[in-house]
Amino acid sequence: MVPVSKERNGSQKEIVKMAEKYELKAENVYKYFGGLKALDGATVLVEKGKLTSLIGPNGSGKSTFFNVITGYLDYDEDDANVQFQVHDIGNDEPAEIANKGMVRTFQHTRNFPKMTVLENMLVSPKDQAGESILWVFLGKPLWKRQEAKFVVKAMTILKFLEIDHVVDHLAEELSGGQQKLLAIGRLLMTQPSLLLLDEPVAGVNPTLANKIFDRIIQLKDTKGIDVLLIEHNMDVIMAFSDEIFVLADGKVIAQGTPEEIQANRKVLDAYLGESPDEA
Amino acid sequence: MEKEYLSLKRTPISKVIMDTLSGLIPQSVYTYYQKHKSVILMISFGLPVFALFLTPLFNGNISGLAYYLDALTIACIFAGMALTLNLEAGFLGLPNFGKVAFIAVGAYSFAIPVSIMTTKLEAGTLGFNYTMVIYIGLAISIIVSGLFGVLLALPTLKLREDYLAITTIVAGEILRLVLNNEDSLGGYSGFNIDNPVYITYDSSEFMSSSFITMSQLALILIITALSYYSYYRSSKKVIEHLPKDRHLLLSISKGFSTFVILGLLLVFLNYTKVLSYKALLGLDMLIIILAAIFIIYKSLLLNKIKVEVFYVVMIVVAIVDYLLGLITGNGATGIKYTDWYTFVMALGGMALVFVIVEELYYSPFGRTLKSIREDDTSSVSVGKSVFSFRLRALVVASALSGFMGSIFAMYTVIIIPQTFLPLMTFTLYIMMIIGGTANNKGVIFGAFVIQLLYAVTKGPLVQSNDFFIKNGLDPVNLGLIFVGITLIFFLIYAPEGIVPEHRYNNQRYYDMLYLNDEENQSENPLIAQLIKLSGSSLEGEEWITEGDS
Repeated sequence: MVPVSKERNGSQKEIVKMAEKYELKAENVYKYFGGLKALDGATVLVEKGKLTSLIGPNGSGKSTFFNVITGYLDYDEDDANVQFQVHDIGNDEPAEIANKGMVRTFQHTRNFPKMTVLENMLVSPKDQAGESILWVFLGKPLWKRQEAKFVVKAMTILKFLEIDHVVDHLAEELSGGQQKLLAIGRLLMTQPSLLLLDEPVAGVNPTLANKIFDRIIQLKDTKGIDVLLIEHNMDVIMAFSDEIFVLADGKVIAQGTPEEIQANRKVLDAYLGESPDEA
Repeated sequence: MEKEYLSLKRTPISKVIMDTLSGLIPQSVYTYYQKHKSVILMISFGLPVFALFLTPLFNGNISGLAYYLDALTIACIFAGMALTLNLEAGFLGLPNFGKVAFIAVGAYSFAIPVSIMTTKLEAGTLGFNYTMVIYIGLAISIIVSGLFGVLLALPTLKLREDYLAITTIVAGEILRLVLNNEDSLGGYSGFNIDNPVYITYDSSEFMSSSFITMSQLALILIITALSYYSYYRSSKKVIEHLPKDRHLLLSISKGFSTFVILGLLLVFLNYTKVLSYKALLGLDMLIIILAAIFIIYKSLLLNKIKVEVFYVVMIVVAIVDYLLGLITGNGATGIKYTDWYTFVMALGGMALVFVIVEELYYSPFGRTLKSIREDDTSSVSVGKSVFSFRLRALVVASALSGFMGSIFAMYTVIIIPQTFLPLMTFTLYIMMIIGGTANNKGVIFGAFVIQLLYAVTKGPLVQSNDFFIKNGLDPVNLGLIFVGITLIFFLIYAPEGIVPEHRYNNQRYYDMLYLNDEENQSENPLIAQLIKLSGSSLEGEEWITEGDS
């Protein structure tokens, strides 16, 4: 179904060639929790310029897949091959991966509750001169100018996400939908090239869900930021995705456009249980 | 919903009491209390303590003036220590219960080199004077306690909060027991500090060589005036972005702050007889009155900027100082110069720690620390290395607490392992919780209230009263009882402390926006040099939205 390279690291040429087509290439990802196979050789490819979705029934290993490829959990077998752009990120720490441009949200929205929305946004930028203790004292003229630039950028992003009217509130005072938008905004401050969104519209009303997806599409089209997302809301998934991977019991059982997925027998079986005529 | 249920379950009695109270009290009074909570708490806890502390003075019982100096010195030292704890536990949320270990390391690593150097100095084999001995001792103590911070951090920092607390408390105890049993470091009976000030009998001469002279002070004043003038010039750009009255207020308050700090410094130097000229009553009066006007101006007339606790504390100290001088006359107080010297060291140390910690809090570094406290997983997801930030904050806090520890050693003259019990750590925690977690000014206030309360219970007012002794109560324990009750009160009704953390502080970011108006920022020679040195840049991808619906 999906081409799988046997070598963990291909030649430099191959890597560059793959990076031209794929933003993220995660092959043969294994993860066991005791005897449970959470991920059983899952392979997901994110093509450049396409909105890729990862769906599957509960417990199929979607969030575990995110946790493994972003470095929060370790790989369980050595033959995993995870390549983001031209970087092999198999052994990287989560913070290193985020600094390379692949950032993620969490299933339960995690912002900084007791900080204002603006401060939430300002934590994100990388290479801030004022984050080094020595430069806090010595480089004040520099980091103040950086801050002024970041504030303008943060305000623009908040306006784009239509939550600029709550900029002076604490993050914990925001509604659920606004918190999800803030989480995306925080990621945008890092100048990402790939967003991994874990259920960006869970528990959000359909109007706001459509708005969030409009924003995601807009990001992809105008900024060239690729998106891989997990979602259970089939309406928006089928309406907006370019490519869908279906995960069940830790394996990718189907891959294709929304139409192909809807017509796929295996996917129906995974969601609803095996149909009696096949048994 | 769930949260409400939990809080109801946890504090049913307090909830009932609060509900009954809010039923009895008119709504307007209740809202007034909510609005001015920190001022009301500050007055209701601070005022009685300060009044009791000052009572012996007005009783005519001024024979023990050293008592006041002693209390203020130890309050300053503990305030400095509590500030460094605030950096770890308040900003970063790192429950370091082994704070006393860092203080002990600072004290010992100051005492040992100083006594070695003093012995050599007396033998005449050392190339520098007593002043240098102290400065070198301080430097060694800062470096050693910083390294000790790294040593303790490497195995413990990746632990979860509760395990970190257990490990650090044990580390502190291990260190104390080692010191207790190590004969070469004095063992149980402690280590004597050969304080150079006590050896040089002519201490006034010593101090005039240690601190700044009149001409140096004049130089500082000129530099401050110039820097204020340049601030005023450069801040003219702010006018376009801020209302004019706010702009004026900013530059006036900046100028006044500089003036108050330098003026108070002058008063202290004056009373410590560092300056070669005679004490000038008029000058002191002028400075203190101007400082008072400054506070009234800020709080009452314009009512737009909050009173800054730090200045209030400084001014209270100055006024007490002044009263002492006024009543007894300069030089007739019976206070040893060395005590003044320790006091100035303690106050200066506290001010230095305050400035460093405050600068860190309002910097991108401090903001990232706060974000780690709020949600470390989320900080990692935007590319912040949690371990590196925790390590760096812990090292700075350890180095600063080592610095305060060496001043503590100077104050106690002899350091005994039994001083460094875990109780000291807990006292610092109580100061932080009562004063206001993650608020530096509040922490200083909390430290002063508690230390002065302890001073009252140990002082002439309580000790001369035989009521307690008759009833079989040791008055020294009174302080502990009061502090315990106060702590419980605060944990239930005001867990954020007297002065809560200033959370809605977006204004300071908007105040920076005028910097964007500068053209060709990276061609500014200073900025260009900074960019070159730091490896950071000003060039960021501009965020432009197109087709915004």
